[in-house]
Amino acid sequence: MIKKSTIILLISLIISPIFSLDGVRNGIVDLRGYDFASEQIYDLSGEWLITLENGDETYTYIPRVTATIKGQVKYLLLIQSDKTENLVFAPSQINGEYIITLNNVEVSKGHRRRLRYIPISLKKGVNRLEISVVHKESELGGIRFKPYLGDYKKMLIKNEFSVLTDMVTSGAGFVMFLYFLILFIFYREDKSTLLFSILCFLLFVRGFVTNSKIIYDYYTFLPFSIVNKLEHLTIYLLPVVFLLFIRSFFNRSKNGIWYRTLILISVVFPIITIFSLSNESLNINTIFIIVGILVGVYLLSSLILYMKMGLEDAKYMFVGFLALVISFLHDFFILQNNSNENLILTKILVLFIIYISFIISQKQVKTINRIKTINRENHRVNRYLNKFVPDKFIKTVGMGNISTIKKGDGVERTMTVLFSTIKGFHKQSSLLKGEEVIELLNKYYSFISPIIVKHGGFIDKFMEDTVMALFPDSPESGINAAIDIEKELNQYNFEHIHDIPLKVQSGIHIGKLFIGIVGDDKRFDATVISKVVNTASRIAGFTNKIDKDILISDSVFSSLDPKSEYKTLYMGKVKLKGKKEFIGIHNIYTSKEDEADNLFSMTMRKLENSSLDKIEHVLMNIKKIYKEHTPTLYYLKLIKDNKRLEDTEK
Amino acid sequence: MRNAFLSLLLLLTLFSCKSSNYIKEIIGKWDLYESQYIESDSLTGDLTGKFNFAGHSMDLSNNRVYLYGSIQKKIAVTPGENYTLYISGILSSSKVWIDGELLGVYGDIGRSLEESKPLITRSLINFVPNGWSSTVTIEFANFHLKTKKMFNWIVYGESQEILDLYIKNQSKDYFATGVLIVNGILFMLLFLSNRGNKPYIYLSLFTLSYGIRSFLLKNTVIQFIYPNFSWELIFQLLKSNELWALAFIILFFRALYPKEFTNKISNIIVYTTVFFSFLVYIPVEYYYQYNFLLTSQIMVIVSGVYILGNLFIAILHKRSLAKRSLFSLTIFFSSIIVDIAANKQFVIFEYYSAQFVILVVLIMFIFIGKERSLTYLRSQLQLKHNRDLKEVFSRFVPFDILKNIGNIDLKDRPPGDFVVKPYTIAYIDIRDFTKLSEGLTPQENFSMINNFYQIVGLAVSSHGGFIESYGGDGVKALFPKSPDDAINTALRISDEVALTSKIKIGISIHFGPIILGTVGSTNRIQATAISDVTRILESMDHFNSKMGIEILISRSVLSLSTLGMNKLLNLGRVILKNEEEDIEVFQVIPDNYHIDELFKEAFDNGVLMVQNKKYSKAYGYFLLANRYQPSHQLTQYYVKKFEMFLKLKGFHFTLKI
Repeated sequence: MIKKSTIILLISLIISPIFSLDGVRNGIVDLRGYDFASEQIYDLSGEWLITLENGDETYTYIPRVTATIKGQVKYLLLIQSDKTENLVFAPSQINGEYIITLNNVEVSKGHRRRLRYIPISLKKGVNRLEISVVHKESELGGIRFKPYLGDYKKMLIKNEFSVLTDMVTSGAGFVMFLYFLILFIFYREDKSTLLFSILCFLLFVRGFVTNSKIIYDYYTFLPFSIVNKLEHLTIYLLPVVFLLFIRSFFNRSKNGIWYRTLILISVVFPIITIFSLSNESLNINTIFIIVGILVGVYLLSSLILYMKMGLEDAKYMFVGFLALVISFLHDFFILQNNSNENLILTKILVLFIIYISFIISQKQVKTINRIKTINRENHRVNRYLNKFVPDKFIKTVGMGNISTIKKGDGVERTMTVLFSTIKGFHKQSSLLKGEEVIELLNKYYSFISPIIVKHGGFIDKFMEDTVMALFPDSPESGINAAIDIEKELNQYNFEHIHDIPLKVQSGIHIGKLFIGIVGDDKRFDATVISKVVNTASRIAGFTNKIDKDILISDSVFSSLDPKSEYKTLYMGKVKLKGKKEFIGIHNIYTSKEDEADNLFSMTMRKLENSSLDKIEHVLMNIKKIYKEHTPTLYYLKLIKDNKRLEDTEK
Repeated sequence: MRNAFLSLLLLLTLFSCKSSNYIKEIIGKWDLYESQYIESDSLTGDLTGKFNFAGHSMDLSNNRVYLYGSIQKKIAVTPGENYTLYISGILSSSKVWIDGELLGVYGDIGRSLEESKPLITRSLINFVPNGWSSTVTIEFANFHLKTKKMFNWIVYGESQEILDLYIKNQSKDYFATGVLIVNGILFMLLFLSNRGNKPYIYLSLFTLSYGIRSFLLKNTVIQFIYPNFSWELIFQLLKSNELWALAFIILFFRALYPKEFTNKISNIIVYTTVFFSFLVYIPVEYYYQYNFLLTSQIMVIVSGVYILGNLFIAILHKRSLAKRSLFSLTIFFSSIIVDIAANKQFVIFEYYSAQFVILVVLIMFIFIGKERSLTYLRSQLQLKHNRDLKEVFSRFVPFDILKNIGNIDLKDRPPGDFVVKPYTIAYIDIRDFTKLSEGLTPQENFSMINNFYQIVGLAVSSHGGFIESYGGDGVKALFPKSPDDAINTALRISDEVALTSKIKIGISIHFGPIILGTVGSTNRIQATAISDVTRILESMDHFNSKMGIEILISRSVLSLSTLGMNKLLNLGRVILKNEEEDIEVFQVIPDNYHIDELFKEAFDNGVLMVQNKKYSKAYGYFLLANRYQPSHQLTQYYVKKFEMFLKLKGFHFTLKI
């Protein structure tokens, strides 16, 4: 919307009408009956009588840019007036040293300085307006632009308009120069902002050094040559800056032959301007215009190319440049006609600058937004990935930061290992579909995880029906977690009475663990390598066999805080499956005391060092009283099968 | 750098305030022109010497409504030179004569208020004196005595000098106009493209208001463009824009430093300012009669004090750019006060505040620049951080599994994604790890495992497989394509491990439908392969380990592979541990592994005989095989089992492990 309306504005400015005023015939202008107070400013361009150094006289059209006149020349115009009038003569620009006389009275003289308005008093009858000029250059010699005669106030308004245009343009350039310079200062990687600020700076300076040359009002000591140089520089630098800017804006790093050539050629103009003593002896304007057109064509075609490449903003940039090129050509033709009226390039430049400023700003905002989007996306992905990362694990065991971890890192720690297994999972799962298995497992894992975390532990691995958790703090936290799991599961089963009840059995062991990062180049995993893990797993396996929910090893039991108030039962020393040594097992229970259990436990404690026969004998007796007591039955079975308390069954 | 820049700009702005010296101000007492007269309802008597027309107010009582008359003053000039008389801000209708010649008419002068039509303008009058002095006569009709002024000031001098002064004055304000309007447009566009940037819109409106004000001050152009633009309207627009600017600057700071500026006082000031800005549009007489001008000027000062005070608080709160804001605002408000004061003095003076607005604008630029670069750098850092983190995390993430499950773009999904597909699954294990690790430090132990896993990982991925998990005791790898991949991987691992370390390994391979999925809780996810296949695989590994077979494959793997029987040793049907049904398993013989041909033949025959239920023959073959290769554990096991079986005279033999 905004961009569209800008385009419409650009076009309407380009087609703004050009009007011209009356002229002079045969060195005489008849102003009798012309009322300056109410009518237009009078255009004095036309055939003036000029006298050359050698005395030749001829009627010549002025302003005449291409006049190849050098040396002293006199311009004469006879003005017929029917009344005495105070008017203002505005020659606009005279190149060279000049003296202006009216009726042989000198009214102004100088050297190529700004000629704004010369008040002249016309008398009744024929007035003789003479301009004597010494030209030093042939090109642009003499009176450069149309001279005018008019009412003081009208002249002032005309002047004021040109001041207005120049100054508003300049102000626009200035503010944009500051804006982009500051953007550049803060973010130096984007060179296009610097180049654009230079562009704006040129526009800013140009407003002060062209037309009314306001710069003289502020800095009276400035010599004309400097101002003239500045005036040329502001234009001559444009192609180079534009070329660099477009390349920088679109991040093109490849320099084509055309690009390099054009840069080389364009750089020549400002260099010549800076180092030449005087501009007056140089005829580089025409060449510059050709180069300017070439650069314009090059830029437009590159922009078309960028558009085809689908580069962002290329089409907006193209529209802007097109407008600029058109206005450049428009002004070029007006200047060819020796007029400096209705020039539009500067106005278009202001619009261009606002337009491009907006695009650049937008581009920056877009870049930032794009990065933000990527960040959001990355953040989201990381949040997901993080769930696969045992970072808590790594941090808790003191292996340092996740970001600095490498393969082979490891530590040795004493920790409590908890194995929690779903009772009868394999039987259950063989009846379920894959989907249901996964669902069941996730239900189970989600159920257990928070409890583990609550007690200061962390999950090492999910292994189908089993969760392996580590507790770095104390064995109590492991036991508490196991108790909590049991409690909450009871609650859960109570609430989900129609589902198959979940039952979990836990084995707890404590000991030295080696925890480390294993894997290959692509894939890491944090892993525990220790006999303790295996033993804990066996203890967990044993729960099922003697139908107890929580079993702990002797080493856990002995490292418990004496103040802790767990209800425990000694289950005797057993050689667990695949183990070489006997290990003392204790049961932790939360339910009411069971006499059979007590009896069993007491027996195991008492007869610990007794012969197997004796144990068998006592157990047989217990069996007689409590026929269904699982531990008793199982121990008897072990003794019968293996001739010792060794578990070989899965 | 930024401070240097700021000071440079300040210097330039201050420098531009310097006035020209070549002009003469016509101040002091004017004579009442004798041949004219002053007539008013209540203005009577000799008033000679009571008027100070330029530079000072008229010493009259407050109830004057209309004053008509003329005044005269002689000025010193050089004959023949071009002179210009420059009257700034004519606030009445008047006619100007110089040496008896009527040179300027501004508005219509009538003898009563109704007949008069004022014109607010600044004027330049060009004249060429004949003698050494000229007489300036001004006929006037002033109808707003409350303003107590005819015009701001009158100067004269050589035309060129006056023109220079004039153009300089005008150019400065046009420049400021350009600065402010363009800035206003830019910020408006920036705001429109991102509505979240509240300070942008207020800065835009503030600069636009001030830009319009600075343009309106140069009323010459407006009257040229719109000749019918009444001076009242220009005046009203000027004043209301001034007040709007004030309201917008408060709103701007409110958006910039919400904590400091969001309070009752700022509400009151903004509302009052807006109220007064519309009050300006009542007829000018009333506006002056009730001294609203003074009220609005007081308001400027009050708001100024308020803003500066709060900015000071903002500095104490260490808000970004608060110091610079305070600095620029101090200068800006000082310039307004100077403007007001100078306006009261009626001396030759131009309004400066518009120039100093650029300082406020500059602060905003710095603000934007800073904010942008910070945002940019911050998001860049975040980008890098996220990427680093992703890289670290990635190592723990089973991408291949997620890909198989269908979560390619890593959507944050809860655990439970899964896929059921047939895979070849291999379990690769280090044999007698505990024995190996004895005498090694944990670190050495780990590096041993890691070296092994390195080989495994590389081999698996180069054959199109992926690792399900690295555990402390083994690796599970899945091969989605041909079982050949798994076998080749196994052969390669076997080769490489044999070359590089003393580790003994066992690899068991099975094939079947596998549930591959993510399991876990909300904050911990793991990818897992679950199935009967994995359970059987574990049993196969147990068998493998017990018999020291190394590479063991099942029938299902073999039937899908291209492996020839010459590379295999048929181990027969075995009931594995924990299994109910028997399974046919094969030992893969690596190329470099020397196997006695005779042994192979004997063993094969043995297995064949078992199949054919010719048990005594089978026993014979196994005995033979055992003799050829006494170290083959399975042969020994067969022999042992057969001995028992034959002794017990069993009916049906199955090898049970």
